[in-house]
Amino acid sequence: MENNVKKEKRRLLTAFDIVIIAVVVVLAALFLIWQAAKNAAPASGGDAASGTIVYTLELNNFENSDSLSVGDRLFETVKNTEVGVVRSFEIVPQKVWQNDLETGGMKVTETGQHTAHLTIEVPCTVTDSTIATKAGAVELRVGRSLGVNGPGYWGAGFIIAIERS
Amino acid sequence: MKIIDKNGRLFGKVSVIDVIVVIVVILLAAGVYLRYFALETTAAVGQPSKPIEFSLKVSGVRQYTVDMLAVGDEVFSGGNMEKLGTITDISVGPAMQWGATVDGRTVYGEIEDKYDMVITVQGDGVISDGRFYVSRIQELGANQSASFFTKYSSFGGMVTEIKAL
Repeated sequence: MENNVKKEKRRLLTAFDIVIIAVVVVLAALFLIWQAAKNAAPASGGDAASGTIVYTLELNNFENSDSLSVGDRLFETVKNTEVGVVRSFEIVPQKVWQNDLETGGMKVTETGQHTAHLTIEVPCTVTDSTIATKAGAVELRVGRSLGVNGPGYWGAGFIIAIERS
Repeated sequence: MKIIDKNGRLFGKVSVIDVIVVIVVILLAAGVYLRYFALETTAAVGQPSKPIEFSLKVSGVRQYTVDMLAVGDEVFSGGNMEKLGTITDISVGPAMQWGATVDGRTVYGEIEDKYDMVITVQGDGVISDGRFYVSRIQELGANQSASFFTKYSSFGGMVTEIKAL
């Protein structure tokens, strides 16, 4: 019986057990190194700060200027989160680019429809790389297309300006 | 003979757990080999980075985009969101395109109210076997089109030149 116990004790740690332990130790070490590297080099966004951002959004084919009002709360149409409050707006002729068969280039023509330029103010989280709305983390950048809805109207277009800080 | 006996050994000889451990170790070793030795894109990660400079041609943008890009802005990859470098120079000219004229000629014509920009960016990258890797594993090369963004603007561009400094 004593021999059996000794045999059992001898079998407690086999070569494969050592391999398993080594693998686990190596994986744990790699994970810790990865975590340390991640903490040492923060994400490209850097530290976040809060602030109010003013940006301009154009809404194309907008023929509902009567429904626009200063103070309108706007919501993004996909996530339905708030993307700001209208501080001012102007209605301008809508322009499109047409091929110019005289020059081979393109010329601007007016369509007879209208574009609304909305100046919008929204609380944001700001990092070195990103300006995102606090309400829904919608990233704001010139050139980004944004669909919004206000009280009684919808619209979509590009962000065309952001106040630089 | 049973494939797995009552002690969990394959053909009564090798423990199933041991086989799994061996397979895991082989897979891990293969992964490390591929990561650091076989695949150029990932093997380049471990090499020291050097200062590099590349130029991006941003074609046919409106004044809004021109206004939102400035020397000193950090440029990020639209793909992996990593920082690529800092804008050191911007040149802006009228947007041009090849177009057909009414008399059947193909000419290089101007696009009214749109602009072509050339943005020079300096950053750090790894040069391996003549290839440029910026922001870890993103390879950049001339004629490559991709999406980019800064804190204030997003745009598509084509790399026109890349070189070590």
